[in-house]
Amino acid sequence: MNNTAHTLLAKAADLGASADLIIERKRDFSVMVSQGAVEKQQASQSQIMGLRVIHQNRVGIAYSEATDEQALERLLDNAMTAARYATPDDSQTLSTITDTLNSPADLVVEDQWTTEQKIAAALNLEAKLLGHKLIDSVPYNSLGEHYIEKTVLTTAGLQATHNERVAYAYAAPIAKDGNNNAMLSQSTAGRSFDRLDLQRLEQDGATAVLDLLVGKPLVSGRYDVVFSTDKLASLMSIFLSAASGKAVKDGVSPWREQLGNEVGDSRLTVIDDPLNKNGLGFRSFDDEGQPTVRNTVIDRGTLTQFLHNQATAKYAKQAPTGNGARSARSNAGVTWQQLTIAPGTDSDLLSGDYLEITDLTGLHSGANAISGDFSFGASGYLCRNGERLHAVRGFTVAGNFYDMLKAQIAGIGEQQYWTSQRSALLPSIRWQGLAISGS
Amino acid sequence: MLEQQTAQQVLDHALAAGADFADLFVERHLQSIVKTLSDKVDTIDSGETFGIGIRLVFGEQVLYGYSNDQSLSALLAVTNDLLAGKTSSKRQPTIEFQPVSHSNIHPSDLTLSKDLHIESKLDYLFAAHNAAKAASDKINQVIGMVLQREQHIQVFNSDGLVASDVRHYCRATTNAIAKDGSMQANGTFSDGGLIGWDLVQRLKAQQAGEEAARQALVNLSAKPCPSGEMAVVMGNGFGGVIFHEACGHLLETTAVAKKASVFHDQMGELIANPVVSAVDDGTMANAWGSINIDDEGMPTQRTQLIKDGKLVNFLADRLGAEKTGLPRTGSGRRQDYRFAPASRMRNTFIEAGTDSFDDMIASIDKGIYAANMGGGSVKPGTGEFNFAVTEGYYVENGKIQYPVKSATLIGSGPQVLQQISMVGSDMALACGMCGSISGSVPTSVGQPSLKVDRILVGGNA
Repeated sequence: MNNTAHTLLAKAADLGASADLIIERKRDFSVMVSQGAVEKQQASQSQIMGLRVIHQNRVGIAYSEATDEQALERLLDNAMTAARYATPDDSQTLSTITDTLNSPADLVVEDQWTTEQKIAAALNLEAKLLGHKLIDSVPYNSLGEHYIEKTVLTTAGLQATHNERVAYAYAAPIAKDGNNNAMLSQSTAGRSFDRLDLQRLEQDGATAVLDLLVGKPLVSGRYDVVFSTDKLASLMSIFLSAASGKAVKDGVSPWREQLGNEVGDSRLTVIDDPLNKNGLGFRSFDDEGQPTVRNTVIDRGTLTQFLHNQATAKYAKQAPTGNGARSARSNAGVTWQQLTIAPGTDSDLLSGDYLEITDLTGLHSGANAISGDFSFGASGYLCRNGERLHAVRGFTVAGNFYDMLKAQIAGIGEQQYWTSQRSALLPSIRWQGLAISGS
Repeated sequence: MLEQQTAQQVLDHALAAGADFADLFVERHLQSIVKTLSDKVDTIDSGETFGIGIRLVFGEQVLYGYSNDQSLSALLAVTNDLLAGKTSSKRQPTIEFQPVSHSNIHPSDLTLSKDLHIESKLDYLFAAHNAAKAASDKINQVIGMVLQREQHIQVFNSDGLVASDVRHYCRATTNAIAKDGSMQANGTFSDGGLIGWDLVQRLKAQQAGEEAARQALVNLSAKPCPSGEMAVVMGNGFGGVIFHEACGHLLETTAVAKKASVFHDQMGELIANPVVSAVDDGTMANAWGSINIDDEGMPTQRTQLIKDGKLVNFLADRLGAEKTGLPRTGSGRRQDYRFAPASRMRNTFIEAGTDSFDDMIASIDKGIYAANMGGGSVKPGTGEFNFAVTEGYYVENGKIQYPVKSATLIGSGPQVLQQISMVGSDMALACGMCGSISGSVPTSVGQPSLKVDRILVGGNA
């Protein structure tokens, strides 16, 4: 495959283009069980090549899953054709690095789990959940893994290969009591099946859905809110796209004229930390082969930098920050690698009355990153002094995220927590006076 | 595409190893995306995917794998990987294929394999951009996109079925962003169909740009939305997302068969207000959610789901039909060869009624008119759904008062279906992408304007 890739890049260079080629290979396994039997078992391997050419400052993209000679010829033709129509943009550029880079070997952690053991673990998870009184069924319950190999090669001579393995499990039990019912999904992820805490997944999943089953309506009003780590990460991920150099270059980021200004509470420091190996978001270089670094984006409330790929960095006259994201099918965007928020100093974060929100629905549709407005369905717990009083459900939470960052942070906790997917590391944040709509 | 003899050998091998049923889904998929940003070309990309999905069924158990390689050896290797641990075997007679033909009711001429049509697409997108910018100097940015796809499929199964089809999809979107000081808001116009770039014949660039700009400017001036339970009038077209989320997903046998739907035992029952009749129709010419045959090779059909409030049908794929004993409805769909098929919606809509829009608004003391909707989601096991209002207005004393910012509406399917009290006559469809267990598939949602007497509005006022 590498010879083919080098031949293709040499042909692009002969046409006067600089180019990079992404080769993605994936190997997946998953098993879904239902009612004590395997419902679906999937095993697959796939590969795709994506070529980006830059010719006279014009970019063209093409991709193919076929790798025969004809397909590769078409790949180059299509990319060059696309480039002919593109508007010249002198910020379009590729990494000048000429090294051979490889991700650390320990991102692929092997274990001794056989297919039968994986099936048995999924069946056991379902059986354990069904052992809880009032849990009626577990219609969605799965265990699986991905092996991912992603190589980027450039006409300059860079060859960077990222290899990793991720194992995961999730379960969505339904609890029923008469006509009343509740359903919640919980998940976990790790580098290998050995590192999945399936017992905790079962216990937390059962507790959460059984609590929700007896959840009460909530009276409309303004509440202090603490989101669970997963939901805080979801909320942050949607709106922190405002720090993307691509969103700035495209003129859509609400922060595009805010560099050096206060965009958040003075206690808030937000970092992208791809080099924290305890998380599954670890990356030693990005999808354009740029070595990653720890980037402080918001420093004690001040927007200190945007995240960049090669093109947005050149446009902004900054150095690339290692945040280039490119799949075989697309031009480079910008991504957060591993969101991290620095711990705060508020030891009394959970004093008094507040609302803990543990589930949000409509995340993909109820948020507008252009305006900052959001409105989601929610459930969680009414709490007092760190103790959950009772579960609440069937309400909405709404606000404007960019306003909240500046004016509604009541406190930031001292302890950081990983999300269940180990993709972000965040302290608890208490938000003041969010609009809750209920009964 | 795949040689019939290769398919025969793979399916024979699967049956000989004890499978009760097996099928192959062969897909070659061309795609082109043209994006503009302001008055510039942002990116143009194109590509080709090719793969074969192999499904083996043992009783109610499904084994699924896929390969990008169509050689017999590669397909047998995937099959053997899936069969690992299966010890039973039985001799089977060689499968004899009987090709199934179907008519193509979705004519397309300007197809992707003929040409990428880049210049024509750019002409359209730049004209829409100019129209949006001309609407107001507050329009700060305009983002345009034309997506075109051409999906060639072949289905072979162990019952001897061979079917093939070519699907042409095209969708055009204009997104305008308005800015005033530090405030930003956006608006979108989108249209698409199961059609090639022939779509351009019904697209009106001026209308697309002006509509996206109008929404963005309305949202820029919007006030915080009131919250609480109140009456809501849903606009026609994308307002149909309420039925898609509140009911449609709960009628897919994918959820029904495992009793993960609150409606699994409600067939024949009155599950909605009698003013509600609803249909899922795969046969509408050139509509975004239409197909000729489903991804299991069955000709698609029009399926009445609810008639005068009564549940009359579920949407069934092959396995769903086997598990529930219900007839198949030509609804087995998947994103691509990486996914096993599942029962999915096509063009789903509430049928036209007789109420007037003005009467609906006039009947409201305090509520919301949701003119445009974003996406939503549902938990099928409980029927709890949500969807977003992207253009809304506060209504008081029977009159539309002022625009309100985006809000999410939440409720439970069984309850909200009873709360639909008025249904208008202005039925329209709108395009969307629906994500579920077999990936993301094109679906239309639709409805006439309708009134929901009580639903929880999640505002920020």
